[in-house]
Amino acid sequence: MFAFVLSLAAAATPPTVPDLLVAPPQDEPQTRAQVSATTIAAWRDHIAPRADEDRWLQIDWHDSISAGFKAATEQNRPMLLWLMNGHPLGCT
Amino acid sequence: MQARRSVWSNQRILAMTSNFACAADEVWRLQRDDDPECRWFRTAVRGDTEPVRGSMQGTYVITPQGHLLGRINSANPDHVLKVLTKAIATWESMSDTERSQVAVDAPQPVHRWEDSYPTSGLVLERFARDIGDNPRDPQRAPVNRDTVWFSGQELQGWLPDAKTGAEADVSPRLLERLARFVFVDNVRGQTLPYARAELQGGGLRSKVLAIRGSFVDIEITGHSKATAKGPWIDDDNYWKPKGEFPRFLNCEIFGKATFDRDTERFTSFELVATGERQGRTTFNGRAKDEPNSIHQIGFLLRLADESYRVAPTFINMYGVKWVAGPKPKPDPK
Repeated sequence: MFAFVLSLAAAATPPTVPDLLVAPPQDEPQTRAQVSATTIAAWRDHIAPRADEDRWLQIDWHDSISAGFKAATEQNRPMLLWLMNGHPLGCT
Repeated sequence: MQARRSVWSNQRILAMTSNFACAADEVWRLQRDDDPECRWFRTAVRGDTEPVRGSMQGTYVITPQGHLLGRINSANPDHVLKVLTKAIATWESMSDTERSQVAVDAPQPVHRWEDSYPTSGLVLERFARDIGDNPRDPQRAPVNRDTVWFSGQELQGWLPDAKTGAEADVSPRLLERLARFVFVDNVRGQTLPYARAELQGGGLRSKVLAIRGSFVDIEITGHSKATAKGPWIDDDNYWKPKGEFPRFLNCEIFGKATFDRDTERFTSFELVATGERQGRTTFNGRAKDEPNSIHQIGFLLRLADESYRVAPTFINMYGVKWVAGPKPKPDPK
């Protein structure tokens, strides 16, 4: 019930989703760090950014060059544009 | 990512930004694509619309008229501050007439992945961090973010029948999206997704804990397992790596959420995945890992604010109809 299995051996012919509804794998991962109903809040707080890690979000970032241009035009200010491989406001 | 901590968290920089309209964007598309928004950027910075190889990452100051006042690619706040200060001085030295001119061509995009934002769906922001064995360990830096989108139609894939105690498998398509594109090691920088055939096993189960009027409280449990060996086996898209990057990432998953049947929206959604990873990719900052060493990694997914519409990193690989890609270029023949 839990599982679908994707086989590396089937790489030449990718399986369709219904094909994946097979028996649970026997080698379910055994990670040291466990998350459960009693630990989810602690893990959430552990992984979430701290306030000092989100200080850069104090800047009123527009999320595209076109939105920044529109704001710059309306405010008659220069546009400060921060560009990265991967969106700077997302995964970069 | 370093610039978030060094430059854009610096108090002098934060104070200086009030002089600007601030924007952030993805540079790969801007320097290469043929979209009007991209051509506008290249014209402002380089004076022509030709695609640019290499990287144009960095900070730019551009007037509303499309004139470049300064640019720098640095994680040193002092160096960035110097460029911003000079750019503002130049701007203030311009006449009112110059500063009030309207640009002839506004950078209006024809296609952005953000156009596919699922307004009636589920939008989760995702955080990834290196972790220890338990949450009492000291928090480690850095933390990186991303997002994952599900359409309104896909929401049902999370839900069992609306009866207390009812259970069901979460749609395999939704778990596949998580395992391929979300539970990836980009804590320190961009990485590769997993190909579909690299998912070796996994399952996600949803159970109704309680029903409160129109609200359905669910619990989500399961695991995912992805292993990449040998050469890239996915499509020839722009994530295709040049080398081989053997790696794995296994997660145990636990989440809880509340779905409102009246509005057909999740009113809360929180999911944590903890797991182990091994291996590296070109840009994800793991080159110093000991060979074959295994490390703990954690992920948090939670509802994103409606104002946060940055597209997921791997959205071009979702393979669903509700995500619209750019129109193909016309055949010159």
